[in-house]
Amino acid sequence: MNMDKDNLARLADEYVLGLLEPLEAEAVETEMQTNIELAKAVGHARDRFLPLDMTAPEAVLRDGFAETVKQSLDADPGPETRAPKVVPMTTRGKKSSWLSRQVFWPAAAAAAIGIIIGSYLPFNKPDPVVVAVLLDANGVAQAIVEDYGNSTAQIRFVSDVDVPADKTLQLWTLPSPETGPVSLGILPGVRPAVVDGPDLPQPKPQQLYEVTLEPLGGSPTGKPTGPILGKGLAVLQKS
Amino acid sequence: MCAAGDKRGIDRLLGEEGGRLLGVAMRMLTRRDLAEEAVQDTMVQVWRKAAQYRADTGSAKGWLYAILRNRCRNILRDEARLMTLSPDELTAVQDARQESVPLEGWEMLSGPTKLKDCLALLDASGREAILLAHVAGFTHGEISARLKVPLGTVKSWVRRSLVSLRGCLS
Repeated sequence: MNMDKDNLARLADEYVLGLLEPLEAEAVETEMQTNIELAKAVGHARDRFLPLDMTAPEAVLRDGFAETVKQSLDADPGPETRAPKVVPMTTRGKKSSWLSRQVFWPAAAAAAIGIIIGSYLPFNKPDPVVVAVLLDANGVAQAIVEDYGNSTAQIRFVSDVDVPADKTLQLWTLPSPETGPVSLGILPGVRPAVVDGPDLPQPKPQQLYEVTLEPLGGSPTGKPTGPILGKGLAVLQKS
Repeated sequence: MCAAGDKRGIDRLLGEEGGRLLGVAMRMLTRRDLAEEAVQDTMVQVWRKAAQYRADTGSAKGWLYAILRNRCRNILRDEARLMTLSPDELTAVQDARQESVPLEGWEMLSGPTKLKDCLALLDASGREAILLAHVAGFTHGEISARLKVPLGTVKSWVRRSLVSLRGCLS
């Protein structure tokens, strides 16, 4: 995430205050796994507002509350000090070793945040292989792309995007510099959409995704020609 | 101790912070049963993740209370969870939340703190919006409804106030 310091701090503040939309908060949590500057900005924002929590009148815990908590821990898998349960999917439906996730820093934070996110998300969703948060030039999240690795990808917008009547939105990815940008599809508008693109290699971490404004009917050249509304790099989706 | 898998860490943490954690949760959720649920869930999260906390990204206390507030907000936004309450109970929760942040709630900050001084410098509307979000867990939409101003106005107040606060606190 290439954001200037002000945008980073603004995003962190609004995340800590709980003011981001759920998808935006999800994007921040994903990004914090690899973006130490964002993780620190969030930590600083938490500390900045912590005095407000200290104004809450203390309440008295009922007798036995600690025992209740500890009993609930008996049924819990326990502290996560070892291999995170989050693993990347190298092929659809097949999980690879968690060791391959170690390229992402910090693995522990990734696991922690991933599990926090996981506990709040529905479990019956299909698993994308990678997720990319598309940011505009100011570093503001515009859309989230989930690539399922079977030539199907889903895009959801998280900001209001203005599309002139004579333009259309087109989603692209860059599987490799040699291949160049490949169209995943023309979007029906600023709403969630599933696109069925060409057969491509399995999406990889750091693979570029972007949405551009193109003439109606899509890019006349087969490559992006219009302004970029949002772009971002993929991260492996945790199961 | 939690990081080492020692449950005495839970006793110690609850001994030091339990009352305040419950107080924060009571202020956001207004019901003791929901607040206890939030604190218990927070302890489970801490138990699982204590070894993964990184001191270089902020204080442990800030991390702890952030987990709690996240849990409280999720309870407030979990329609399925709230549907376990009777309609009367749900109405009572919503009414009590409206009262949980007095107009000049920022004065609750005890003693001379930089945050208090900086909040005092904000426009009243922006200050109230920030307090409603942090203290009571209100969304932009809920703040807009409570203050009877358009959503875009609330977002603008919040952003402007956050910029001012960061500048003042830096």
